[in-house]
Amino acid sequence: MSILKLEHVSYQYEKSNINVINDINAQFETDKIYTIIGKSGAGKSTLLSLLSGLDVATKGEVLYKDISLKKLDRDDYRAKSIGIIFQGYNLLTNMSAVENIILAMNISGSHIKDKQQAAYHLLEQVGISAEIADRKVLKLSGGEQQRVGIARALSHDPDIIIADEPTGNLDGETEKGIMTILQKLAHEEHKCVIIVTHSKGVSTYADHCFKLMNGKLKEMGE
Amino acid sequence: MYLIENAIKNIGRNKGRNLLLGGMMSLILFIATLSIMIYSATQHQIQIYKNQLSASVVIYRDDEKAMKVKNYQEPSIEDYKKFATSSLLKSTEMILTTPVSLLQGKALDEDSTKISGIEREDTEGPTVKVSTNMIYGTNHPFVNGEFENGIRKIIEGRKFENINEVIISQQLSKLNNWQINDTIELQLASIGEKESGRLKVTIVGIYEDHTQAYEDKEMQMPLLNRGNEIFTSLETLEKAEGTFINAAANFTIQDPSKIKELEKEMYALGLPQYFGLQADDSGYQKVIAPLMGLRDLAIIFVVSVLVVGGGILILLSGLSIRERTYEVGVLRAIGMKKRKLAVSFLLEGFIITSLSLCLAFGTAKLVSHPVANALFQQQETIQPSQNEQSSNVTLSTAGGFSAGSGTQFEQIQINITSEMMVQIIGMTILFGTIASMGGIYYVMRYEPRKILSDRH
Repeated sequence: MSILKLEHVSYQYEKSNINVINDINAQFETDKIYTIIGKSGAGKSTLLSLLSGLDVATKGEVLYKDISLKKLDRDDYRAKSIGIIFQGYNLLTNMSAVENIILAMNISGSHIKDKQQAAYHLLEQVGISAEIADRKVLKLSGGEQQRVGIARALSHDPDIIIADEPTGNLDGETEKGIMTILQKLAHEEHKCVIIVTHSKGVSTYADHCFKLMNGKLKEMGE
Repeated sequence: MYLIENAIKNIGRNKGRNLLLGGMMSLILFIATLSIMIYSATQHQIQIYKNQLSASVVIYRDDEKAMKVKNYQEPSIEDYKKFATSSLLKSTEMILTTPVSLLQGKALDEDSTKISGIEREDTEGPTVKVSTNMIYGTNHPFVNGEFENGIRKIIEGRKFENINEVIISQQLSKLNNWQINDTIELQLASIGEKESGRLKVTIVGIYEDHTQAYEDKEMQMPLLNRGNEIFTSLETLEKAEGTFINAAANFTIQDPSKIKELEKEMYALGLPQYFGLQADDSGYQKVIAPLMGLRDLAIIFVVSVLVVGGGILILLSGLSIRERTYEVGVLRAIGMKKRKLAVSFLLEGFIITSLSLCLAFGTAKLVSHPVANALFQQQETIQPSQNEQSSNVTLSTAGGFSAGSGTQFEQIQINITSEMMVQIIGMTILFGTIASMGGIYYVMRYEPRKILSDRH
């Protein structure tokens, strides 16, 4: 079942006539893991911004459960319906790992009574122990920070996980660990996982792989 | 609510920045709070005196006319009682005064001066102690204006109610170890061969005195030391026998514009033509001008601090928020609404402002009295002196009975009123908002994608 759709989506930067994204159509389903690859500057991050509601398409529609994002509250969409994993982790550095998770829960309006306990549990699921969870984020390694980022993205149990170069700054071993978690989220937790990457290695984990080139999105293997 | 909890935690997470912001804010709020306290206190005092002085009327002597008269006579207490019947008057305060000497005990400064008031030379008669104290007999409901305004206050016993009852100052009581219900004997001043009368009086009250000891610091003698003033009822001095008993009165007119009409009426009732009526401008100038000077100074301080301080806060707040741009971007990216983010910044601003206010308020309260009084002393030297006022002699006596009584008080009393609190809290809210403006502006202006992409 399609949970996210792109219908004739185009995007132009301000003061530019060139379409970075040009008339893209695509559908994304739950229980699957997708990768979108492309060279640097191809527009991958822009596409990800449109999918995650950080930006609005110049033309066309991004539909979440058949409802256009232009009609939805995009803040609520990001807070409750999707989880974003950033390339640069984008954690709040003056907080500990567990505090980052609790804050995300509060922002999403979670009704969990013991948020701290739930946060520790979530972090444990991504391989972060309670001891590490209490450390300030800047004292964690890149891999640990990315795991915290994943836990934050999962803190409100979203249907969709959108990851922007989640292993871009990590070594091979750590990358494998992260991708295993993402695969599990798709195939066992029934989420729709969309990964934007330039790494062909990451694509090997995907059920579907798209290539973004010259503003067009094509499924590889077509 | 998590926003409040997060705001409190954020203040602790950014200690260095918040200490700087809080420190600046404390300083600004301290100066502003101190200024508001001084402004409120002086404004309150001005209102009291304005109400009191605006309708005060005194009888003055026109020296030019008086010199041409053969049988010069000042109005007696009986004359004042006649004048008091005028329907144009709101109230009349009648006073009898005379110098006295103490037949027991000592007056303040009695041993420290060479000139000791009025002396009686009598080689054959009994030796008489020189006059060292002034006694005032009055029908004023509060004794006089100074007691009414709180500059003097009965702290032990009560006001005189019956004949031959007196109140004395705390200083005089301590000097002589006089207590309530003690009886003392006073010798009234007289001149010539006539023996002066005596008064046996009972102390029924002791008053605390915040006036300056000498109105004119050049002339210091026991008779002029205000701590030596004794107060009693009008009836006590009406029955006393003394050559130097002077009568005076302070009138409060219902409508200050009818002063000429009142003057005509008093002439008809027997006031000699070499006297006239005038509003008590000298009292007004003496009392209100320094207070208004201090009040205006306080206003200037408040406005300057608000403008300059506000500018500094906006700058600091802007710099502080620039450091938090990334935080804003992340919070917006993970779905925090602009409104909630703005509320979060506002809360942080108010918490810092509130803590700064507590510190500023406490410190301002501690130093408000000495600072206010130091500035007031300064204002008194700047304002025009009484000598520059009208040269006509008024018949209102000193001792707190002139309409301008209470000018030489030592302290401005700063009391925390609800109006003052409203002003201070209003100012705090203003500063809290200013302190948060930088963050709110940023939140409203930038989209998270731009913030995060700029960082990368």
